Amino acid sequence: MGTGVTGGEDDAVITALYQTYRAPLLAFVLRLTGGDLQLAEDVVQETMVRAWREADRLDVSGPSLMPWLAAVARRIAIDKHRRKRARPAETGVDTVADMPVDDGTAATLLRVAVADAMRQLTPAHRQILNETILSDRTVNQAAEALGIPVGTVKSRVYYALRSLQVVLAEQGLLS
Amino acid sequence: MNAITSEHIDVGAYALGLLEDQDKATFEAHLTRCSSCTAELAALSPVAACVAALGPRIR
Repeated sequence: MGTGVTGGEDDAVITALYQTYRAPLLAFVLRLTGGDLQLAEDVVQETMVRAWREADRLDVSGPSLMPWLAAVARRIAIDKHRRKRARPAETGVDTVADMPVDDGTAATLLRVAVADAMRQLTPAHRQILNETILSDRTVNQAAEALGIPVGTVKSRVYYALRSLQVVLAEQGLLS
Repeated sequence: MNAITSEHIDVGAYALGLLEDQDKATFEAHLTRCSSCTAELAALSPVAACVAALGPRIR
């Protein structure tokens, strides 16, 4: 482990991290791993180690580290999953979106991440995806349901996808 | 992001499979002669697959 253990203070930090965040973080990570407890424990462990290493930059006594921990845990879970998948290097397949659909863990990871990305869209963009693809409606049916021109629906769908592409790329889910 | 004209804008709905038959046929004909839509479709397809993976909306 990289940074120097200087004694009691570090122990106190990691103990405090575990006491406060282990349970909520494990619950979060279990969703990512599709219920795989062993994998989830490993992810939590690595996340805690990373938090401990960065303890001087993080305010461990501050409000909540949960958003930071969750973001780190998600990265670690995705990396672990990629490493676990034995695949030829030359395929160039390197995004969660390319993972096989019959893989429970990948599918869960993907759904959680995409749902997360959806929340970052503007309300109009989120709504248009909810009212079309996620309601099993064509653009014409959605236009009628919403009382807006079909051209507007098509345009919003297009820009919603473009925005989502940016968010998913920022999350490292799409190249 | 540059604004795109209506004949190109259908690429989003097409990637998600949201076009009705006539619009779909029109867009597919357009696609055969529009290299920017071909490239855009390739870029948007993984995004569309991600959204489709969410399955039916739960409210």
